[in-house]
Amino acid sequence: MAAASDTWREAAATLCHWVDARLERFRPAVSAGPNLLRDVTPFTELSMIVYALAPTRFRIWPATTAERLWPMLEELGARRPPETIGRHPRSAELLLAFPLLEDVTGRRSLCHDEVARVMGEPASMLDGELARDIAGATDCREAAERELARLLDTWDGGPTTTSWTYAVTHALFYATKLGRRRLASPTAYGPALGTLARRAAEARRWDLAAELLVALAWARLDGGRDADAGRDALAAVALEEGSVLSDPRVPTTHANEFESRYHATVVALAALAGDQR
Amino acid sequence: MSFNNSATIFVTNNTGGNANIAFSHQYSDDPVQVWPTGSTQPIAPGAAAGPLEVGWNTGFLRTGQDTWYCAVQVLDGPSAGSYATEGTLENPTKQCTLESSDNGSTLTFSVTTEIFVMTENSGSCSTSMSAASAIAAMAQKQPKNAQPQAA
Repeated sequence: MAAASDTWREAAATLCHWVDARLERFRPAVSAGPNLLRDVTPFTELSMIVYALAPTRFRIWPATTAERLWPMLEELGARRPPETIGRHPRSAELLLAFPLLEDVTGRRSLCHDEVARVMGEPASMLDGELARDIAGATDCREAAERELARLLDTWDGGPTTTSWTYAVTHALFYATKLGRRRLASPTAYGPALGTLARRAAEARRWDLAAELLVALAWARLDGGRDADAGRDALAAVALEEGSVLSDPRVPTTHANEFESRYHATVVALAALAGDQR
Repeated sequence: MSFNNSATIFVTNNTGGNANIAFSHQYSDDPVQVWPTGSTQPIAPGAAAGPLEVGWNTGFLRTGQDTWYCAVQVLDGPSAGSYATEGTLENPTKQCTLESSDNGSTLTFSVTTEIFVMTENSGSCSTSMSAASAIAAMAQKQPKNAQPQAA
């Protein structure tokens, strides 16, 4: 893997500024509606990136950000107590931010025991098992690597769908515990995933490119020159626009500036900063 | 591709006449999911077309969009004619995002000659229907002289 370039670092810093200026927008919603997962998505995604970057040379920003997110976490716990969502089919995911930010800040949430009780129950999906893994209730690496092998062993190297690509990136995210551990069975697919990242960047599908680059970085896989080219393109758009658009079919307007950009911006931040171990 | 969410979709015929109905869903750039997949009967007023099993993904660090299409060929009644949303059966373009709260549900949408309403647990969307001539793809799937299907 190439060393982080000055341009990548500069671009990552630019994205940090964008997030810092909008941190309040990441606050979890506590609505009366049914979309609990959506309510906590920006907050939890940012918490995942903070957790992943905390042990890197980029560690000052995640440490500072985690401190700023902490009151929002405690507020979430007070307004939506973990025991009230214990029966939700994705309860572990809904509570993922608690173990993430406890780890980074070294603190113990007021809801720690209730969260631990929910995390004690097996989750039906790998996404939930990652949450339980980070909470210390299980180890999902074997299951995630099994899923990764299933996906890659049937891939002919040809065009892929977005859903397939996300399934691969997420299997790598989970197997590596968001970059905190190594793969037990390193895959030889690094260059192929690097090529997918470059192609995604060329198509201006920045979120997909960033997800692939993050997966490569967290799994310590060498994506080759194609991955570097993808990272260069991602850095260029980050520096040019100050943030990154998630879906090219949904252009940014004044009204949806945060919603259309927060996701790809935090993932791109991880892609540009995440190999500075 | 397997999805981590699924739902069953019906579309109620509120056009005021017997109608051939076709509708489709696509998550991200995954294969389009279409109803019907073969020949079917016209749908009586108030009855529902379907079921269409649809899949989509939700979760952190994962984005995607759900898009929809609906076409009706009203065979009789005061508004006989062909109507469709924007897009095509093979390329649905009306966005209405499914959420995890829709997972495992049976969702009943509705169609008139003027509007297609997608009622989801996570919220509702609607889009206008336009008089359409491009119903060929749907018409090809419908057997001639078919009888209305009961509710």
